[in-house]
Amino acid sequence: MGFVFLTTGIALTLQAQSIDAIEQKVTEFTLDNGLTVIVIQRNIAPVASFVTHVNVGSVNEEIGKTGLTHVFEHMAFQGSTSIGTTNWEEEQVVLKELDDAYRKWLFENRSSSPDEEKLEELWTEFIRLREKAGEYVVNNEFSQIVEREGAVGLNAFVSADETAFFYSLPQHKTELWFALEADRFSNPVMREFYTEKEVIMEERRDRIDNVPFGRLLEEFISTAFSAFPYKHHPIGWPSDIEAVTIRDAMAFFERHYVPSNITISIAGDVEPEHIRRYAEEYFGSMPAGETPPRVMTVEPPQRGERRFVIEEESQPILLIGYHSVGMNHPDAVVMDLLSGVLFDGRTSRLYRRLVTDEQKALQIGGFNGFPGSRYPGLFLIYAVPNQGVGLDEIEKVVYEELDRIRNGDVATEELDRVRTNARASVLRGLASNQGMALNFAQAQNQRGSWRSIFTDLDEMEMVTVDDLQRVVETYFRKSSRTVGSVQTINNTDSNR
Amino acid sequence: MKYLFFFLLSVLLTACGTTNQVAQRPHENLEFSEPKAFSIPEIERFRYNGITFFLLQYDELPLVNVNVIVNGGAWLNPADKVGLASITGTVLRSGGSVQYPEEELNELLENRAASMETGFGLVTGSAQMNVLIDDFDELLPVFTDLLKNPLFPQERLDLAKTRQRTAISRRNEDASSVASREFQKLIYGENSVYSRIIEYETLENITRDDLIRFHQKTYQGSNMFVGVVGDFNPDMIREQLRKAFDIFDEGVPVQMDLPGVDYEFDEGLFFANKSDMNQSQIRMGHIGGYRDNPDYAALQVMNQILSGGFSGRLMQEVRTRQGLAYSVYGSYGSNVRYPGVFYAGLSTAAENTSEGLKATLEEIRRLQDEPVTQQELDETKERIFNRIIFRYDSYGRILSEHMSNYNLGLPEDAFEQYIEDVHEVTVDDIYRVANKYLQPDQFKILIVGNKSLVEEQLQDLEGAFGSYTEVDISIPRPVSERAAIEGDQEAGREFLEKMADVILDTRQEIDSVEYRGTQQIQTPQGEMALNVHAIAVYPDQLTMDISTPMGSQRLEIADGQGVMKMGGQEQALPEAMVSSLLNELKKEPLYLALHHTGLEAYLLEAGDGENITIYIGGELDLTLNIDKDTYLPAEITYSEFDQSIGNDVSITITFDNWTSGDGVRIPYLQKRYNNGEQASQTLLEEHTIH
Repeated sequence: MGFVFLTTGIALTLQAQSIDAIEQKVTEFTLDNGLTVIVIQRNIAPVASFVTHVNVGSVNEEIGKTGLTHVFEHMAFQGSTSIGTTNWEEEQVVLKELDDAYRKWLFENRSSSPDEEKLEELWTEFIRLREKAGEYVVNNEFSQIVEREGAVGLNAFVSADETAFFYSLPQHKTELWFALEADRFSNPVMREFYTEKEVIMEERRDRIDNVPFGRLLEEFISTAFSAFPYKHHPIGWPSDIEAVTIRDAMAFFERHYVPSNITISIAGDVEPEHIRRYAEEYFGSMPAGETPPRVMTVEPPQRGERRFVIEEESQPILLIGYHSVGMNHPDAVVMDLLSGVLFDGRTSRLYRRLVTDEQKALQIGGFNGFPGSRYPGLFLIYAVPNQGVGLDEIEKVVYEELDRIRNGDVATEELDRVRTNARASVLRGLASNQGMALNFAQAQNQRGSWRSIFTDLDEMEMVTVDDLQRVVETYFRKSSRTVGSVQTINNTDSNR
Repeated sequence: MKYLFFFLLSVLLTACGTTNQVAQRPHENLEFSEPKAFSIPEIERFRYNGITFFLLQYDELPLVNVNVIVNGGAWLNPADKVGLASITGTVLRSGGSVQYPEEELNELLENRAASMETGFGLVTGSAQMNVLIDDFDELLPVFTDLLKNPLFPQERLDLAKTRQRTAISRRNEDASSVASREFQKLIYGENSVYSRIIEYETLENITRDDLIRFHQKTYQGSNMFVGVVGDFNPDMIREQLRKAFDIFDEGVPVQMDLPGVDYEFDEGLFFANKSDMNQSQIRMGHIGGYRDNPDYAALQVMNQILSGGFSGRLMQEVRTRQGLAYSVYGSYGSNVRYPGVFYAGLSTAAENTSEGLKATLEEIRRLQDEPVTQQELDETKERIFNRIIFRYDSYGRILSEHMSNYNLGLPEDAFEQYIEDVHEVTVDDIYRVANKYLQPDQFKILIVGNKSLVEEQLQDLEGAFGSYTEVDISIPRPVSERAAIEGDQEAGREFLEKMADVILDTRQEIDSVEYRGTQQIQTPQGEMALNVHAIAVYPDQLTMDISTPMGSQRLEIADGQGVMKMGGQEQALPEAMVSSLLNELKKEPLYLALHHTGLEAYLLEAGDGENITIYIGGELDLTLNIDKDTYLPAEITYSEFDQSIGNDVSITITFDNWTSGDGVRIPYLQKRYNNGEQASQTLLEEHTIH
């Protein structure tokens, strides 16, 4: 592996910290059923952070079932066959009846001519069963157990590419994490499913419906992609969230939550051999299962620029997206350098020009890999204009700066600066158990090895001005871009 | 092992309730080893040059962070310069120093993956430097030079203002922050240092000299606290710090006597309209208390019971069981230097506004109505005790908490004392403090939502909480245009005089004016024609009889109140509508002519066009176009906050068909445009002067 030596001492400092030093602290193993475990020893305090990373995101959802990944993520906090219930034997019978009742109502409701009377009857029956199922529920028991034991940061997220569950515990309770985590992913129960979907609809209102930027992003991806399932937001379309049922969620779980699709990552004051023992004991019996289905769709080439405007009562925002490459493509690291040169820090090209010099933008930013990066996504550029500045003025400057790079107008010092900051940022990321556990799990599960966090830095050293030029020329074409904006309603033709 | 006992008890209770208990539960029968011995890292402290230094060495990574706290913040700023502290914090960094001005500083730092940032909050200011250890020796003097000798260049101040103006224009975009901001105002009062916000006008008043003075007042040695954490050389660090911070004057510390809050408990329902929402943001509460309250620990435990993680009652009940919210929370705030706030809040679907509000309120009331069970209390305490260790999993956090507590004057063992107090908290204590400190009957309740979706629920809520007050969230317009044209006030006055001459035949006293005519209004259903008979008694009374094909209505405004009467029924007009109608009255050409000598008028344009353009400042805040030949008003333009859509609307009214009668001229044809689109047309048939 080759390092290009910088004139400052930074490369040396960071190099010492890279793979060789880290390697000493990391243990990695895979169980017979295919589940991978990474242990990162860090004894700053007697605590540890635990991450379960699953290679399933909204990109894996089928048409008509958008939002299901996220619905299941919520359900993983509802306990199991033994936690969160007063009587599983009876509860499971009612849950089955409940789901059937909901499906009957749903089918009638979505029929071409729903019978109002019948709908009401079906809904009443559904509500009756929902209340009956509620009688077996020990509310939030899973969360209560772990929080009582000292858990902090209990949460999870779903993105286009992935699902991750995490929390931290005092280190002597490591076994508790294994026992509960294996239980919730071996014996999941779709408890309070229909109430939780209401919570999810509220989450949708919080994040999308009532936030101008959220509305714009959702519209943006559904415009930029024709076929590829990056075209819907991970939260899902409202009608799909309403339509998914318990049996959909269980089928989804069985298909995607198989050991080969899961990486566990633990960072903190823990002993690798203990972790290995617990992993065997608690996760060893999880059946290997079939390899999850792959995403088969490939986004067809875009035939021309796409543009849309949301006219509403909010202040303007601009998004520009170019179809780009996924994280495992050799050009991905060139894209990262490019976004560094253009957008990262006060010395970056577009910050300096739009924010400092011309004072047109309150914010300008951009990065590769939106809404995901496991598959080819977009290189996204976003801008918030200063008061009274037209979006066209900002758009023009962005294209001018891209053209400068297309013409080879980049200094090596600019690339070096981005590389230096990339190294430092990896280094700073090593200062948190939670952050490390998550980053290592993501790299392992999506890139094939946690080492890619460090080898990317080395690949970055190889990138030349020519590479930047080539990448801009190849991907930043008018015909493969989407431009979306929010513009404030202010003239007479807004409704025509 | 008190904890284990209660835990088993809870399991047994559950088990007794059912006959068919499930077999093995995964978390039971686990044996944990004793918590690992852990010694809290020692922080060294010393003083030099009035500055208190704090050192925490650890060598995990080759990094060093320096954190500076200075006392003084936005609370010190005069009322007409709100924003001074925050702008000072911004320009302190962006302007750079004499040695490394602006872009040079940025390049120096970013070439080394280093960062320096500065800022001011409400109470204190801060500065941080994060560097790789190899750069520490070189960059430490750069950092102290920046903090001691900032350039504060005018163009960076202007840039900061431009950015802040944009931020002001965008402050109503996110409903959650609108709700939090307006709720603070309801609790602390509109003009309190704890709730006031930056306005165009206060921003405009801030000068470079203000920044320099504010910086000098706060960046004094005896007003500074400096912490260093990371892989520094423990043998050299004190000397390095003494040398680098020697440039500061010891000076005098800022007196941290923050103003008290004169709070009166009083219930009230408040509503702010934002028409692009399908959700309501709800906040409720009243003033909170101080950290030195002997009931502090009991209140903290109560907070945990109400809203601690997923286990808190609000999450359990409002979110998990009822599905009414994704985000719901509540807490009794206890501050050291000024009183905190008790608040609870949530966001919920518009159609669930009333239900969500009541469900949240119910959980607060339940704390007062029934004692918590011993089990719930014990489990809550376990939560608190078991996560204590997480206070120490970041050296950076250990240092900053220590510095903050030291500055606040809390005893060194404040946290340990708090934990001891938590051990002593009883079921009765929770019941007692809930009843002593929470007053749900005296809550101020604020809803930010879409009026057209929640109107009926608001009426329902009025039944329980009394009639609601509408909160005006409109953004006061900038005064910059006024400032820019001040030189032409003389000419403005002259043209208004000429206008008055042609509108008024004599300078008679006019009490009121009566009009009759028809008005055509554009509605979503199409055009609607009205017959109008109006009597305006200047400046604050208005009576209008309006007849439409569907029936007649009478609108009356007097003494600042308005009512609408129709078919024997009477309905109060919203405050916002009353003030909007009265404002329009004051913008009529006749009114302007009668009162022109008292107006703040500036000539903007008297050149080549057909019209003369005059800006009238003060509360009228409008642009008036006068015909160059006749001196009659051609049109006026102004901006108004429209409550129904929750946004500013630009309004233009054109005047034609000037008709004389009773010694005055009145435009018999008036057209009104909202955002450029014609909204109505008024055709007068007669007018009478009284």
